[in-house]
Amino acid sequence: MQSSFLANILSGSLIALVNISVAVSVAALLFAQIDPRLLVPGIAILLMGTLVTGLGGSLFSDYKAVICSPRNGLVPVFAVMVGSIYTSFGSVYSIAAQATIIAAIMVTTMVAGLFLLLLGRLKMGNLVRYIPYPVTGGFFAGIGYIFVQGGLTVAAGVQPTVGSLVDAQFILLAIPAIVLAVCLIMGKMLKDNSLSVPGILLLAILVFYGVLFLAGISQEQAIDNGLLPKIEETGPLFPVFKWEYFSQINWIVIADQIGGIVVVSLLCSVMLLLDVSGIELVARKDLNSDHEL
Amino acid sequence: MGFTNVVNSLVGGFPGVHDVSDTALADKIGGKDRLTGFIYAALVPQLSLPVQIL
Repeated sequence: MQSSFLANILSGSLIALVNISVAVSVAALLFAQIDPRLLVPGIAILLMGTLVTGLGGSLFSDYKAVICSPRNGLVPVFAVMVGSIYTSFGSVYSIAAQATIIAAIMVTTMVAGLFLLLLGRLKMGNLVRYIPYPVTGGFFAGIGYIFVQGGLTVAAGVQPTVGSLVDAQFILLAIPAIVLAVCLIMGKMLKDNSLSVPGILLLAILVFYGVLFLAGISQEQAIDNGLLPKIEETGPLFPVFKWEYFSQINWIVIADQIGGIVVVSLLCSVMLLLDVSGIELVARKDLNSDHEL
Repeated sequence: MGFTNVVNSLVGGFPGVHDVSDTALADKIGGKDRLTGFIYAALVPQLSLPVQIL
């Protein structure tokens, strides 16, 4: 398809659709498992990240058609961070816990941004050349495992164990997710079309609601059966951080997350530099990684 | 991307960087200009309306 106004609109729309689905899924994986009331702020955090990084990448990157988005690879680190903060509030939901979690993510994003700026200023864009393949491969394999486990947990509502193999409720809830995953893999293997992933996702949503309709299952029943997320709070998504949260933040708990904050900063730089190398192949031109940082 | 993430942090966003798979997908469909990214970013709040209604 030739580059045209329509092609740009179509590609931008499809990427937005896919990324919103991913944002909601990641929010469910990261926040809803800890407390369903964190799902709405979680979705807002992911969507805001999608909006700002998407806009920033398009404005400042050397490659005009670059797409930037929140990185799923950071989820395992954030899962530990969010879980740890929640535990420090006695594993009980409160505005203070929610405010501290949001503030911790804001601080982490700020530190990661400053770290990327520093690397760029120090002309360390070739840093990725010194990361051994076994380290990169092991890291991505680990993320893959966490996502398979997390995906099953989101689909079935409980963590998968060996006993889950004979749990009828677990199997009933997990099978549609596994079928979709297989369809996505097969779709990519058999016909690596640019529309296959968004097409399969859209079709899966239509089939899901079609089955609900034909089976006479209402939205409330679907929520009760664990087929749809239970959103406890129905406040607006934006703004993510409200000023009244400020007095509720426990800064000491955030300071305890310094290890996670450093890891996120390092991962952001590694992911950025690896992906810029990949984008050079897509763009068929060299990009200045220091500028991209 | 560092500057973008600093701004991102001020509005409560999740950290993000370049995405090679999405960029490749956009390229395959024919997205070759900055307009692709602008449409993508502009549609995020619009398409997330159903989530807000929920």
